[in-house]
Amino acid sequence: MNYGLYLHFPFCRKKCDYCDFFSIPLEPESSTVDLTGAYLKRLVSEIHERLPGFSDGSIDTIYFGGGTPSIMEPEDASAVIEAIKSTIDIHPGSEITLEINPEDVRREKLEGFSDAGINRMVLGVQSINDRHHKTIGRASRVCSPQVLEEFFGYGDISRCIDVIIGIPGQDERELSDELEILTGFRPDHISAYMLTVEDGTPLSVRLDTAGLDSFQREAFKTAISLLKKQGYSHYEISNFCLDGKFSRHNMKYWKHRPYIGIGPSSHSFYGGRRYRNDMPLEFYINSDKTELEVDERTSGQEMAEYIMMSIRLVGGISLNEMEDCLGDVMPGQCFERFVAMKERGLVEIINKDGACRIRLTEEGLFLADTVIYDTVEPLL
Amino acid sequence: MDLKHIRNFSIIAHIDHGKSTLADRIIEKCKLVSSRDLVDQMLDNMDIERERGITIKSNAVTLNYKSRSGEDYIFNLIDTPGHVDFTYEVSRALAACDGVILVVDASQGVEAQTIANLYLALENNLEILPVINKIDMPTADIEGTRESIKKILGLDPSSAVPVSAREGTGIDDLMEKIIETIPCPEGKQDGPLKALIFDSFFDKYLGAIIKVRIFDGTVKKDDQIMLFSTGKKYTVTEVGIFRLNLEKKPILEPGDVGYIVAGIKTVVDTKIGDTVTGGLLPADKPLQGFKDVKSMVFSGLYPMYSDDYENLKDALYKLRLNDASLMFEPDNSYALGFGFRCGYLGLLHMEIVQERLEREFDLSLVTTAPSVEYKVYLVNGEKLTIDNPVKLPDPGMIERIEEPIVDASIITPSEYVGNIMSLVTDCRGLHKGMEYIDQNRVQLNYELPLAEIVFNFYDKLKSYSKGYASFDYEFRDFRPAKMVKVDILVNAEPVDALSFVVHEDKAYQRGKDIIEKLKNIIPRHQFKIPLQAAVGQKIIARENISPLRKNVTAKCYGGDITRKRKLLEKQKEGKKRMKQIGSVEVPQEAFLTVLKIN
Repeated sequence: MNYGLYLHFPFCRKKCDYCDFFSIPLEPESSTVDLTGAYLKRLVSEIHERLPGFSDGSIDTIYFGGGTPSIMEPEDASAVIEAIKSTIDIHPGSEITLEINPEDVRREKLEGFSDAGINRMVLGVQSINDRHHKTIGRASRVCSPQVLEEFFGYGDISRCIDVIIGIPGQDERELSDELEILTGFRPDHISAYMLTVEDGTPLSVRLDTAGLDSFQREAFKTAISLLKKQGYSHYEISNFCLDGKFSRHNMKYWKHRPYIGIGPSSHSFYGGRRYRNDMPLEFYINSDKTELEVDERTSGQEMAEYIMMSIRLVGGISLNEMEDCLGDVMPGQCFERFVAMKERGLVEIINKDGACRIRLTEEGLFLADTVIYDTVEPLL
Repeated sequence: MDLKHIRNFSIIAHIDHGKSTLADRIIEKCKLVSSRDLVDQMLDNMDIERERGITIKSNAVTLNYKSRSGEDYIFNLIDTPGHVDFTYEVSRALAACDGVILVVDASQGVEAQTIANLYLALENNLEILPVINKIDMPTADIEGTRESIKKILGLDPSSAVPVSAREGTGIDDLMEKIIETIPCPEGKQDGPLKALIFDSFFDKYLGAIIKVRIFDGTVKKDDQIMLFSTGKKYTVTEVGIFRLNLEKKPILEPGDVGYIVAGIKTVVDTKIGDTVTGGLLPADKPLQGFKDVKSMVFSGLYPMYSDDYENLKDALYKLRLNDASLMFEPDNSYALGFGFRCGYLGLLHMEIVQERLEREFDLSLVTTAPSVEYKVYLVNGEKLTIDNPVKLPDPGMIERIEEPIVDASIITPSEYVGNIMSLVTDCRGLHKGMEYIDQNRVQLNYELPLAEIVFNFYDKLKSYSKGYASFDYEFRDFRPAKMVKVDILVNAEPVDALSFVVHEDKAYQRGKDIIEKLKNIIPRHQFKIPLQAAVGQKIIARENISPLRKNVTAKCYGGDITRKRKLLEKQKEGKKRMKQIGSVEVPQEAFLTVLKIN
């Protein structure tokens, strides 16, 4: 069994206005060494505590997410990776990813991380336009041409970027220009997320969302066609890659494959159950046992999750694959909902060589949540 | 106990003049409960009554009182509601009494329902004992109140007892005054049983329990009784009186107020106002009952979840056992499915019925806009009575429509007269008279269409008068009016449950208001949804709900899939509370907006 491993680093220098993830702002940075140090120590102890339980398999993807994990020093990343190696097999050729912020793009740091074993870095660009950064309240500094050159100039690793599209005030021309510049660096992978205004965030208070959906639909359309033109394949709603270099780690979420999450507010999925670590940070750091909440799912809920995640892949859901994975076929009332969606032009149902595949149409991509809700409703 | 030592009386008053507090004091004087068990509004059992601080149901209690002269008396006290909607409840309670205490607030003075309740007591030939309450308030004007008791109510002001129910002042004098003023009951111990059913309620274990006032004869366990209106006979299993709970007694005798349990299971059999008589030796004539209650306001009541229809039906039957003024019959709406058309005494009554159904029977309901009853004369000479807008025939078939008109009386401090006059004019009221009832207050009399009262009149009256105006009304007659039916179309489909009848001059504005509200309530769909208000074929207002162009979660990883699934599950719960109109999902709220337009 191959597992994905997610390591959570819940600290940022400063919190962005649109973020509703669990993270703790560290200001000023000098006072943070103790906290992050204690945290990383505890993270290593959780690795020793939990990973030996997975001796039936090995790890083939590792993902440092956050927060801002690039705040870590390369030595810290190295210590964590060494700890993993000492408890479980890491598959040769594993994908080892780190999310990195522009502030941390420095030659020595890139080299250090790479030496630690990291072979894929995702740069949080979001937008290279200062005005758009301000609109969404991005705390990090704007990626300057120098930062981009530094990042893409470093050759040994797979370099990827995250961008945010559909920011109010970002017209079609600006968006195209931005994407042209960024694709010019030929990142292996681009995640292009439409700005989501989450309730309770500072952004939700100041941003007027009237008409945002039509605007974002157009932005999304623009991004898809531009990225495709630049040779990127659109493989998941918000994800694009060159030459089959999709995110192997994230693919585990979409394809119902097992993964282990380490750290507070991380999630795990193995042995048919989902787990979450709900421990408050202080509590986690000062404990020596990791407590996890278990989510027992009915077979209907399990299939609902499978559909909800895998329909996001542009290739769609293979019903054979789903049956192999869940040991269950799609019930008729659920399939009928897909047929109704087909009539509304939101999905295609492709029968080929005795295999059936269901995928979103372009219109379906824009309304994926509608499709998901309507089709999984009978399973809930 | 001989009849000379029994007093049966009720406390009547305008709302908030302190009936329930006065009842609490009288109960306290009679030491029915230890001070430890005292709670406010002792006789108001329902949660709704305590929360809202109002009395909805009449409640009876038997009290023992030792007078100053050392004699033992029995007081049967019946507490009654004060709101205009519940006049019927008051009149039933009064039929079981020989006299009333009429409470007047010393600061507020005589109000609209003081007068209405006085008339009810006079109709029942009851002795009236006026009480001036809240004399402890700094704004109390005892002399002024005496003056209006004389001038407006026509009662002897020297007989009025000043009290403060809150502080207990004057209660001792009042107790003696009750013995002096309220006549003792009359009745024959021998001869056929004659008992008046003034209320009934349902008990899970005992079945229907009837509340009676015995006029003649006696009743005890194992007696055969007969209900006059149905002729059905039952064997009595228990009789007793009301303390704070039921208290068993060997026998009920003339003058007594108590209850009878007789294994009566069918709720419809215990008709309020009916006479209970002996099964073996029936009386030849029943007691004078009550006029059949008349519904003034109607609305549709539908279960949110269609499989709750039977539960709703059962709940309505049970509720009616406690509330004889609630009328209902099965109804079927295209939009809302199977439900009931209900008739109420007024808006507060409607609100309370719905709240009790939701609370006591755990039902989720959809209610349609309240309507009044119209007399519809067709060109072919036919005449229809219509309380449901949906059933109004095509305008082309109608020769004329007549609407109910009430005599309304409003008492207000004079500074608000201007406000109230403009409100009433706006509500198509006909000014009939204006009279200064004291130096500062005016009684205004109007003829007012009931349909206007049903539409937020009471709330507006309160806000136009800063809460000072009081209001009472009585049905008068039906008069021709230019009424039209406004249909609401959602995605070109008429939604029957949203139709309403309104005067033609107001149709455009109200149609427009409703469409605008609906626009904000109905969620966006994948397609454009036109909303229209129409009178016949003519569209009078229009709005569009623009289509949902994008509905996709951009970032969907991080592994927290449970949360995302739970969001879908929550969405499904929410959807259960939607009604499907063609291909449009309409939230329950939409049906309520029609009620709440200003």
